[in-house]
Amino acid sequence: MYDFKRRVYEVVEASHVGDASSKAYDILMTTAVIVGMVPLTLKQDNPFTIAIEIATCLIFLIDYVARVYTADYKMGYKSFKAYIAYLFSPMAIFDFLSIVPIVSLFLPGSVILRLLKLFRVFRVLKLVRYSKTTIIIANVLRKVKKQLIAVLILIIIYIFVSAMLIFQLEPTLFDTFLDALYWATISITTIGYGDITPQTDMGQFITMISALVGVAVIALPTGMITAAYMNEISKTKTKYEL
Amino acid sequence: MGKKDNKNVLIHDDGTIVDNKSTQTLIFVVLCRILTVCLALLGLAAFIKGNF
Repeated sequence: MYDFKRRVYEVVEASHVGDASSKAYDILMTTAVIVGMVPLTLKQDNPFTIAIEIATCLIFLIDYVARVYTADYKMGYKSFKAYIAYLFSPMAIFDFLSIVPIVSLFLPGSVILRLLKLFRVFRVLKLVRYSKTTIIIANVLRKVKKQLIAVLILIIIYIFVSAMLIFQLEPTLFDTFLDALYWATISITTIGYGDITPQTDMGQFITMISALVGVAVIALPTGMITAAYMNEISKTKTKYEL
Repeated sequence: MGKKDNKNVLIHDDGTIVDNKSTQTLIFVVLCRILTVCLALLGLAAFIKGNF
């Protein structure tokens, strides 16, 4: 018997070679995501943006319903729990949030509902499903998660320590500790806007140390991600060669 | 157990084979492409009207 549900699942998931329906659906969804972001590039809505909002939200709503309907296939087990588990999965939450902006069309005066329009940015996460490269990057980030968290903790500790030092050494330069934290972050990332510059010798010395440490610490995650990415790429190549 | 009949395929008296699944796929693909083009045009129109 023709399994309609299974076919719906095959179409809404990323396409396989030779599946014309799934490929056409993927292209439609990718276009809907990109076009759905256009209103965020404009200062004011116009009749076209309203049409875009209605069309994209309807498409995303149908996509969401189809994905919930086929959740048992996605989760790999046929039970009511599969639907509940799917509804609370990160991708399903992003799918739901991408539909929310349509509410703002019906209640245009509300400030909170205007903020709901910002939920459009979540739509870009829907693209993750359709890009193999993005899936590889997501896998890479998952693999080096512990190391990245360790570096992040190191950076946060360093920012706090240097902010506390400069806050004590240059009391006239900073009104609040938040200003010192801002200066420490800008220095360690080697951005250096120059809006806050230390005046004392000790302050300038700490700035120099921050800049040097920043170069070393900020470069660490880049190296880790690159190494893991190259590893993942070589694994994929080996898999195809075998 | 015997092999199930494929009810999606209709064989006419003159030998012409009409596969329902192929027709449904074609309709779905054409609909998706039309929607894609319409959306792309809407996006372009909105961007031009809003920025120029």
